[in-house]
Amino acid sequence: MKKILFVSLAIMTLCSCHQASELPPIDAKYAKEFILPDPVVLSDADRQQIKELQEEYNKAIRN
Amino acid sequence: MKRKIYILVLSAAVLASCTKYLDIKPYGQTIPKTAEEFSALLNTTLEEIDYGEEYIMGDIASIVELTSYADNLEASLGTYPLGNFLPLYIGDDLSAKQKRYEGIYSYIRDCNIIIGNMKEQDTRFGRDVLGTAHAIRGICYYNLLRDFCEPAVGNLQGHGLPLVTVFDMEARPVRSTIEKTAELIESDFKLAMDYDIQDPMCRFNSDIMEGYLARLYFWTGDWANAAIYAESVIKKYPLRSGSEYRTMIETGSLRDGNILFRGGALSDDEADQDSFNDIRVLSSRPVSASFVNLFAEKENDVRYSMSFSKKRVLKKRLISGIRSAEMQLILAESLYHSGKEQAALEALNELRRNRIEGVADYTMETLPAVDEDARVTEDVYGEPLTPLLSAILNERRKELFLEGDRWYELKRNGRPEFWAQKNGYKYTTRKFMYTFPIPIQDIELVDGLVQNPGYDKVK
Repeated sequence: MKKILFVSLAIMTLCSCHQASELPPIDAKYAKEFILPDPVVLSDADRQQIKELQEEYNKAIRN
Repeated sequence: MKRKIYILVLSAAVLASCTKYLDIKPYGQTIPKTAEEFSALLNTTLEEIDYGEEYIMGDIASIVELTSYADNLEASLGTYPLGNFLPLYIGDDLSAKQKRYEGIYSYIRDCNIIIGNMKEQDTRFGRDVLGTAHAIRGICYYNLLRDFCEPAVGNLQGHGLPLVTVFDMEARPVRSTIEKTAELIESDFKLAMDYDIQDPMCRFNSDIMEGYLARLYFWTGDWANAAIYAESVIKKYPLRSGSEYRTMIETGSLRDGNILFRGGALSDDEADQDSFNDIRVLSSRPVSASFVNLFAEKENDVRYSMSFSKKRVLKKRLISGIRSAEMQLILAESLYHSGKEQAALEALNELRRNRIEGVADYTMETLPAVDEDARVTEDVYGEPLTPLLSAILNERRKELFLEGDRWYELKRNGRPEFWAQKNGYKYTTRKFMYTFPIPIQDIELVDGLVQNPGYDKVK
């Protein structure tokens, strides 16, 4: 009985707090990121717009 | 009997392990006492500002980020792999803005410790320390207001910030209104001015605070006060032109010409290298056609050759600071919104005369028509742009290029949606993304704390 009590005492004392100022790992239980709208595949009109942008740029830097 | 003793010993040992579970408040053990001890809390912060930090004055990396989100560079034409180091659009960085929120509040905490506990208020040094604490706290709240609250003009009762003004780790404030937040910022800036900071090491003298007051009133739509403070700064730090202007922009010193303050101005070689790399990465995006086309006077405008090369690669030195030209533009727009259009036109012409050689003043009749294809189509009140306001906004876009201004201008004036492409997909900057999210953890922990719209789904 005495041994059991000593062992229990030791375990409970050592397990109580790791450090006096220890905080629980609250970070782990919360989400960290926001889910934002997914990107969409470029439409033909979008691709045409990019093409015009690229052509304007190429022409401008050649001059 | 022995069993009882053992149980008693056991209970005493377990219960005595911590005085109070999670008790980490120092309760007077680590709070400084003298102004010199309190100033230690600020010295590190002031050094960080001089050597480059992202939360108070901002550094080169901050400007690179803000420039990436906006439209002065053409994200869809970016080159890779260098371009991979830049956010394609604001959506790439929104989750990371939680760290910004927490980072800024940690500076506010330090300021609160000083403001709430420092008793030495009758010495010159004590007043400098207290004034600086108010200045930094005000700037922190101003930055949070612009980033984490919706545009302020016409929306003063909208969600503001949780206002923390005393050091209390158990406090769990909910959001105030934009009006209340602005009142706290105004009070901090004015108190910083009242303390009349003299020590150059404390940085935030009254002139800088006047500049910040002009910025605050401008952001919240208090046009009369914005004009008063902007004009006061301009009188003390007149506009420069020609080679004087060029030197001022291209020099990296702390204060030069009419630059009242420049963040990260004392950065060392290592930081310079980082800045160089940041700028190199930013150069992977060409300057957008819509920006280039603003320079109708081309080479006669000193900013034309300073801003980008013929290959549309950016050239201007990135600036994170506060200077008179911004005040001149605040003055022009504030006069415009106050109904003083002729005075606003004169303020605009004054800036143009200092930038464009031989330029003829605009008159109400000669102002260019509003560009129907421009990204910004409405003003802070949601009204269509007039030729005069369009000219003021265009001048602002040219003048404050690569100074982190355009993103906030888009936010202030209608939050237009636009997209950029990468690998066959289009990524859209949506209206709600101009207002950054409050950290998820804060929302979970604080009852009644309201999240900004658009951020209800998390993972």
